[in-house]
Amino acid sequence: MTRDLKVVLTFTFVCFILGLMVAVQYASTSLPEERETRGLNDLRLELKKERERSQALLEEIAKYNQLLQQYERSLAQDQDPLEVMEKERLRLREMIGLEEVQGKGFIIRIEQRELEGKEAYEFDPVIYDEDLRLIVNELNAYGAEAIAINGQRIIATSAIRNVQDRILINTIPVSPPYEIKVIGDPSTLIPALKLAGLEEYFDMVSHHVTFEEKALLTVPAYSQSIEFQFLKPVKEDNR
Amino acid sequence: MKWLPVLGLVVGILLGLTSNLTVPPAYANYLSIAVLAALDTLFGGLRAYLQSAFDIEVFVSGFFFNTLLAVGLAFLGVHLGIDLYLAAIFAFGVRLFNNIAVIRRILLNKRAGKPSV
Repeated sequence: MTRDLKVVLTFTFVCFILGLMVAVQYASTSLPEERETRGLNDLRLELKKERERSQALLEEIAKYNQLLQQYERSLAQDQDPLEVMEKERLRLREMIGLEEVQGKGFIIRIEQRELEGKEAYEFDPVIYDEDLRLIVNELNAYGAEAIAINGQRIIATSAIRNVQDRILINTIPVSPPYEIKVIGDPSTLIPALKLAGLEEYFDMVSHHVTFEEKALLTVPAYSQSIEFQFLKPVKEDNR
Repeated sequence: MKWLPVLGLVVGILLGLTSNLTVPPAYANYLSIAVLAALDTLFGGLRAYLQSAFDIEVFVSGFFFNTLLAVGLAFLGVHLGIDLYLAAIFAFGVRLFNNIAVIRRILLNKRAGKPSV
């Protein structure tokens, strides 16, 4: 090995390392991300537009669901009427929450954080009924199909309210930590909740919100009976 | 033969880009200083070679030692709250310009057929 070759090889080696370092450095310093330059007003308009769009889409979904039922009914014409009725009954029971249901969804967990010094005096670290109502409201607005808080299924007549220092759901006391099971599209609902400022809000009262998506989630049935005292269905002829 | 170092550089860059290696942002600073030190050593070696005062041991040891020293300085600076890496950048930067100036003169003299400095 001549001296010249040695020199060239040494240079080559150093150049190689230099190239490697430069490339890694280049890959590491990613380009600065696009900053949001739209004003608050533009964002509001955008949000309004998107809300209208989501509203329209939800309406469309409802329309198609109706259509689907119509088709199913016409298909069921040549089946045993009893069987059809039974099926319809089950479907309605599922719809109002009297049956255990399962499907794609996610779990929201709200857990208290450790209080740090000064923080302890700033806000009362207690979750009230209205906080849970806010979540349920938001979820329903964006098309959640079934909701249960700590095993209590939320139905059309569910009440979430404070009684002294506890929260009663369906007249049954629930206590923290709260675990909300939701069946619905996580990719719509979780952003909707984040947009509503859920995380920041609960952070303020020193709670930690986590979302866990599930491919298959079981939501329990409404555990009590529904009884009507006053309402009667309207008959076709005495309308 | 003469183009072997350039080939090495290209291979190094390609390897770095294809391996998808990234350094966490916290250490990007150190790497940039290491790059600067390596560049400085490279041009220093080139200059020494053109002045026929090249010594492999000095070159190789200088490469590693300078790089590590620069990174160590930067590290120390971060922990002492002094921007010591500026010292490394300054030193290497000045040297880099000096060396490149000398290399340029040598090459110009060579083209003019004058004896080298």
